Amino acid sequence: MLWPGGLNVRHAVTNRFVIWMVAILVSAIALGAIPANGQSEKPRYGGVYIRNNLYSDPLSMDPLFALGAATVMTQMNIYDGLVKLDPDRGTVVPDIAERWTHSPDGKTFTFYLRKGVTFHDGSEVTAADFKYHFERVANTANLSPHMARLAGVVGVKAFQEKRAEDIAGIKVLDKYTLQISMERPNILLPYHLTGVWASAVPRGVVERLGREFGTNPVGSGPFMFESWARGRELVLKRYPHYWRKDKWGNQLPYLDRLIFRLIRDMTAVEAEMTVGNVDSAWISDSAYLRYKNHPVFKKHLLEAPEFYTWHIGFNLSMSGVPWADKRVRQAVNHAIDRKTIVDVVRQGKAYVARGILPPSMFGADPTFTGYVYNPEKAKRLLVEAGYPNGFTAKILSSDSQSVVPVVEAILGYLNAVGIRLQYEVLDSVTARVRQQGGRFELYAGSLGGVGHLLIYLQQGFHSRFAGPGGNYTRYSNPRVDQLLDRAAEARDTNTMIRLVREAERIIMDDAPWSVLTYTKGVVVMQPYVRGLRRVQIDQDFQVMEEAWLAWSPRRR
Amino acid sequence: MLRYAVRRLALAVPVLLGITAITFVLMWIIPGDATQAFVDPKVGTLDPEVARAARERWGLDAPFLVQYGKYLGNILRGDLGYSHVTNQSVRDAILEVLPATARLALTALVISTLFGMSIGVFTALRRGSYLDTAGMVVTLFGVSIPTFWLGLLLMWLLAVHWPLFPPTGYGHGEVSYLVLPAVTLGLSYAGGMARLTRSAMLDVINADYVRTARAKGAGERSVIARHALPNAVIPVLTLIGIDLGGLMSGAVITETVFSWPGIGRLMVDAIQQRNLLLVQGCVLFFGLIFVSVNVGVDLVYGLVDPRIRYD
Repeated sequence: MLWPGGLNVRHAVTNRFVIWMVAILVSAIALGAIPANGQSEKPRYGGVYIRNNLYSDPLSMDPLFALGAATVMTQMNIYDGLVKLDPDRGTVVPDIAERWTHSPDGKTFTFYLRKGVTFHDGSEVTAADFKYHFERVANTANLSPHMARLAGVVGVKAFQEKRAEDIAGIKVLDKYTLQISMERPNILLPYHLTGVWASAVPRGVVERLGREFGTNPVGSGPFMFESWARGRELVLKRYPHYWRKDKWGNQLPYLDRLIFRLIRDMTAVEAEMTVGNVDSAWISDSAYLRYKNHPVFKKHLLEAPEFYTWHIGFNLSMSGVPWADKRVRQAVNHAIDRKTIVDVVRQGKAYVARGILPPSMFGADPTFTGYVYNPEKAKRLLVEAGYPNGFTAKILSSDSQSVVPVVEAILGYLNAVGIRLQYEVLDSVTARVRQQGGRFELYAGSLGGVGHLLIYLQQGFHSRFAGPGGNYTRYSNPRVDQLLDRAAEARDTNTMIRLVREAERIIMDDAPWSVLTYTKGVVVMQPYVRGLRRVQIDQDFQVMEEAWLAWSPRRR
Repeated sequence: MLRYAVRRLALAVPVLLGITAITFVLMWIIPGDATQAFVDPKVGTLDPEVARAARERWGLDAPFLVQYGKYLGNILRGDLGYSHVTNQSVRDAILEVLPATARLALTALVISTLFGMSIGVFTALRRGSYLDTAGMVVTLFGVSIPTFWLGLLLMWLLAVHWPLFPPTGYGHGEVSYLVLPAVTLGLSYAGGMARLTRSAMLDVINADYVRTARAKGAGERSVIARHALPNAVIPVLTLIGIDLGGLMSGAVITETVFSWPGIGRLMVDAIQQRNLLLVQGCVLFFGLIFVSVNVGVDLVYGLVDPRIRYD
């Protein structure tokens, strides 16, 4: 039966179908042409990849001294550990240990190593290599900055005081099984072992080279050491027998060589990116908008909220000062318009902080609202605290361009509610030393660089860390200490997360900090770069084993 | 002359001692000690247990005089110190950056001397002309322009807009990498050199012996090259000596802009890490360079002007 107008309806349906099909086809072609991190392209082997990120010279290539971005980002390509951090979620995932278990009491951890993993000299990685290196780290004679990381392992104290030959709590059960026993239950042990300092090193080579191991490293990671010209560059080459394969079963890594160049001036980095001498680079605040609006590079930015919380800290060891009253600290929190600071002052290269823990961190409470901008409430709180006319205080910060303009804006916000700040800008080391030593009234700075929510809170707020260890404000709340201690001994992750969130709520209410922003780490890549990933903890710590070049770059 | 040189060099010993004492005091005064090497600059925290162990090992809690005495004792034994963290001796760290430092310093000095003296002589001979005024304005720019700005400008022009040279780095020692930092540094020193040469030339150009030379019928080129310039060059030599000392002590800004691995950056990094031994090593090196260059310049005076005698 012909339905009047039926033909038209059928035509309309047909037309819509054709339009949809064309749209889907065009989208598919477009998506195929713009691969997202190389997911839809077949990786290509070969090529030399040049990174700029060395802000300073690495200290050493020995994981004993794996400290600071330049050292860690280079060493993590040479060495592998038992476990590592998943770059996206910040959770602990297997590395050389293919799995691990812990005893019901949470004190004993057993790591089962993969068989056939080799060092760059061809020898096999065994549990004994890990025990050997952990004892190197704990040995006070070696003065590793990580010597206290194994505190709490059974027998470490006796070993450090030379009362024992080895660490009794680290046992080699067989060639591929390592057992670590803690004095108390400690859920954090696997997380601690994700540090590059806890990598496998070949005992024979270390003993033969002695100090020289720091300039002639041998690891079991994706790249082998080739050369290092201090102040200039560090060159790594592909380790052809690396144990990892990609998801298609191809041998990793793809790159022939990986070069880390030391380019100190950020404007010079832009010049090198423009002429194509650098394949990816971390970009500064001042360059962010230029790249964001660049016709080519705007499509090749890798942005991630990094685990650093910028904040104002109040010195709580001082008595008789206005900020000894919690209401004053809360008033400061309400007086600052973080969103305007992010949008205008930081030009979008930061995220508004609501709590202490960045919401992208595994376990952090994404619903946390924190303090809202409300200058009237701030004034009311100041009146309640007995400061209707406000007060005067001193604030210090480093001369970093990430913080100075922010503090300058804050001076205005606080002045509007009656708090008059005198601002002291110091070189970064002096500012840091003053914070560590508690020689400040208020400071503006950041804390973070760790991916575990419990450690994040511990270092900033547990009274055990009061002082240079991270709790610069000397904040002390027995309830918070207790919650964090219980969280460290919790048998399951959910309990740990619940306890940490409760501690965070108490800390936010006590307000030893006025949280400001979380860092936005931005990496710019050349159009031919594939395989880089967002690294939540810190974008510097790129996993280069899956990086590849879609076509050969033209260098100048 | 030889005795003079030996005496002057011997005087370097108290000078260097004084330098070590002043540096030691300054490093003692500034906040933070060598344990800052154990701080990740991005994180900022310092493990108190590690700091305690390091202080004990390095004797950082000992009184000032004890620490200084120990340091002097080591120096007298020829031991400038060893960095436990960077796994490198102070001597090696300085020797490693020395070739790059010397290449940049000497090339920049040649550029500044050639440009500076040429402009100085040229403008002095055309005193009061438009060319003189233009030359002086240009040299005023040379003196006033901040090195980092000039460096970035040259980088943009000659490495990005017209990609003739690599923007930064040292490469494998190729000359192309040297051009931009050396020209930047050379031009920034040339301004002062030009102005000094001009005033020195103006002093001698109307002197009696120059007039006599002209009266004898000597050609203008010979008058300038053989009679005026050698006499005008003495203050310029002093400036060249000072500049060479300054250039060899590190051109921190140029080194930073062009990522040139020189001694200036080495020392700034050492100060930031509170690496007292390396700072002392660098400062001693600078002291030695300044003393040697000054003695060298004094000796060259004697060669240029036979009236100067040291015996």
